Amino acid sequence: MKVLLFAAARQRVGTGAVEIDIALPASVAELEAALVARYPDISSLASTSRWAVDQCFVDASAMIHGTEEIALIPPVSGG
Amino acid sequence: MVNGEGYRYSKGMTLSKTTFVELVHDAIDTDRLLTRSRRSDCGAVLLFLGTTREWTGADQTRYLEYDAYQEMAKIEMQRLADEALSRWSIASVSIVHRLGRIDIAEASVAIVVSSPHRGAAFEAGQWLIDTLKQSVPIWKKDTNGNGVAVWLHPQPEVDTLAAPRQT
Repeated sequence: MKVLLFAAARQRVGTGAVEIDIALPASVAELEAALVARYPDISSLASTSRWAVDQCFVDASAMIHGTEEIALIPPVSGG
Repeated sequence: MVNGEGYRYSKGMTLSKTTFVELVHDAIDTDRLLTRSRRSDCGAVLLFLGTTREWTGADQTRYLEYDAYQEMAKIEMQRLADEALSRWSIASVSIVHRLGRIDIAEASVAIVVSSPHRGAAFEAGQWLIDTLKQSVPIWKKDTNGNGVAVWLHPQPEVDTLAAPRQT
């Protein structure tokens, strides 16, 4: 499952998109666990981040089926 | 006619509502935004600019760089504009955020609200910038006086007064 990364998450991982091996369907919480297992450097940041599915914020219980656009949204600092 | 908040419009016209949202990579053209926001049925045009501040306490900022999840940022900005139009008696909302490097005193964000009466524009403008800073997926990287660059990720649960950086 492809996950888009931004800001400090992208900087620490070194790329704006990563491919995470996970059995689908999966919850956002399960995807986050798989992401931080693969990239422990962003564990702390991921714990305070939100998730977006198809450009909408979702809860950790939201289910992913494989065709969505998934993004990790670290705490925002626009404005 | 009199609407839900008691404002009276001439000739029985209801207030037509417009929005404009944009992400740009060059200086924000505030004159253009103000011009498009002036209307015959409005007595107020409010402009808010968020600008790069050099000093936050003893910490110096040399410049900021903004990045965004652009597709979602535009959706969220539009959602905020639509919600403001539904909550206040205002006629138009424009939200423009600049991305890329922004030097000291230059504007990173502009919000323009026009309304028949000024109170609603002030209230909506305050809500729009406060909510934008909480929910629109845009991030700033601060390059300090020593040339060290750090992405800023303020923690929402921390008291905003105690947060290390607020613009």
